[in-house]
Formats: sequence, C-alpha cells, structure tokens
Amino acid sequence: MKMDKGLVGGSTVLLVLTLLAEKDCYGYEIIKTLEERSDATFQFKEGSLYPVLHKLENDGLVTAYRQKAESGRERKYYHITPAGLEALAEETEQWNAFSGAVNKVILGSKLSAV
Amino acid sequence: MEEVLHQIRFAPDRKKIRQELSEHMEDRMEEDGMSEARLLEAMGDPTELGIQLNRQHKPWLGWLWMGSWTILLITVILTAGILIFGWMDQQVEKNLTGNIDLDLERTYASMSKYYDSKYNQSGDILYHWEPDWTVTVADTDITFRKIAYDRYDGRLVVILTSRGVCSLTSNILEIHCSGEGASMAEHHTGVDEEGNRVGVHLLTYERFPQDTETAEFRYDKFGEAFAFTIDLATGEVIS
Repeated sequence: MKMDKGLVGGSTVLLVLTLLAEKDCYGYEIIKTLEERSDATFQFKEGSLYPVLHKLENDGLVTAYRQKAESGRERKYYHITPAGLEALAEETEQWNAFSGAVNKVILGSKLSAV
Repeated sequence: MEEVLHQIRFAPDRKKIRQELSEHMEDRMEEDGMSEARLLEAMGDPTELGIQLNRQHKPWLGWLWMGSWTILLITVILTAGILIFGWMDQQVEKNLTGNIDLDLERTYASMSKYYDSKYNQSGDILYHWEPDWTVTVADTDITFRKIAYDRYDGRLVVILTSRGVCSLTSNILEIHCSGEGASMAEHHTGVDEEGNRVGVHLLTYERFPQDTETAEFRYDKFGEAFAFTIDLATGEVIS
C-alpha cells in the first residue's frame, strides 16, 4: 500500500525509538526491522532515516558507538538514553491519544451512518 | 557519496558520515544482493540526502563543541601548571627559610654518631653523659642530650635538641660553660610534623678547663636566664 509520506514522517521518531528501546541497532538494521514488522508498509529510505538518527543523537535522545561483528565488519550502533526513553514514553502517549481520537471519529461516523 | 558529502558544511563530520553510509551500502548489497548501481538508484537523490544530513551537522555547533573541549583542556593544563609551580615555590621557600621538615630524633642520632667518629678518634678517655636536662628559653624547650668531656685536652662537647617556637641558633651561642663561650657551634634546624621549630645543636668548648669536677652552664640574655651545674664524675645535674 502506498503510504502518505506526511503521515509516516511524523511518527518516525516514535518508530525508531521503539526499536532502540528493545535493543541497540545500526542504521540498516532499523530499516529492515521496520519493513519486516510492518509487513512492508514502512519502507524507509536512507534520506528519511539517517537525518532523524543524527538529530536524535544531537538532541541527546540516543548515543552512538562503533562495534565489531564476528564477521569483522564494523558498524555504528545507536543506543537509547534515559532522556530518549522519556521522549519515547511521551511520543507513545501522544500516539495513543491521537490514534484513539481518530478511531473514535471514524467509528463514530460509521455508527451514525448505520 | 561525494555528492552527499558536498552538502555537509562541517568538515570534521564528513569522515564519520562517509563511514556510516559506506557501511550501510555494504550491508544492503550483502543482504539484499544488489549491485552498486541498483543500490545507488534505490537510495535516491544524494544531494537531497546531503542537505537533510547537513541540517543536523551545523558547523557553528560543531565548532562550539570542539571549542569547549579545547577550553576545558587548556583549563586543566593551566590549573595543573599553577598547582605544580605553587608546590615548587613552596619547596624553595621551605629551604630558604629553613622550614625543612626535620625528624628530630633521627637527626640527633646522626649527630651523635658523627660526633663519636669525629672526636673519639684520639683514644683519650672521654666522659660521656646523657643528662637529658631541659630548660626553656623563648617558649622553646632546650634539652641537653649528650655531654662529652675530654679531661686532658680540656674540651667539652655538648649536643642539644630544641623544640618550640624559635630556632634559637643565636641564643644557643650565648650559653656559657664554666665562664667561656662556645668556640664552635653546628646547627641543624627545621620544622617537625606538628609545625614546631626543631633543631639539633652541637657546641664545642675548646678552652674548657682541664681536669675539672663540674661544668657550669649559664645563660642570661634577652630577658631570660637559666643556670645549672653538672657533676662531671657522675653526669648528674647538681643544682
């Protein structure tokens, strides 16, 4: 399904922080996980993800470190900070309130149509 | 890649971004089995990516961050330097004013040994006494630790230790023994851990009468006085 970029854009921070709260990830790992979990609904481009990651790092919501994998590959991993966890909680709350409200309106109109 | 990096104004971050994006591309090519050409197409407009990234890598913030580290480093170095110079200054001052830490008992022991090797060579019969007699002058305790008398040469040697407020080097020279002042005096002064002025003093009286029974010590200067006599046969303080 073709997603409205505007809709996705606002939730990018929420999605990224949610994944990082579960485990530290590197950039491409985030893109892949989002794609898998959303049944290919979210297909983030580099241009959408990396600027967001760098902004989160600048704002202190995540930190980054380099790590070597057993294959010898070195990657830049992102780690959520306590401040990041707080922001995530806030974003989640906002999302629930927002989506809840939207659902109520949608369902409401359906009911009245019935 | 170059098109992306061209948009990044803050030069120090270019290297890190190059590294992260290269690794990202390697990852994608490996896992998705893409060729480089297809990947570049899939990644979209490099200039646009560069512009977006540049918004997060503002030069002025970058320089400010690096600048603050430099300032911190300079501050640490300056502080360390000041502390070191201050300490060195203190050490020099200590030595200049004779404020060296002095272990009184150790110094007395070395003086004692030194005296033994210096004066005891002639093989003359020397009378050694350790009266441990203390008098107080100028808020400082003077203890007569060791007295050695060479009957035949008429030489009396006294080792004193002092502890208190003054170092007493000039006062001690005024201690007369049987009417004569000391012909030689050696002083080692300093400060002990409690901050008292301490000293070990070796006085030699060459013109001491030969073959006498007693040594009479007198001091009367600067408003204070003491006097006592030592029996040279027993080493006891008589009066």
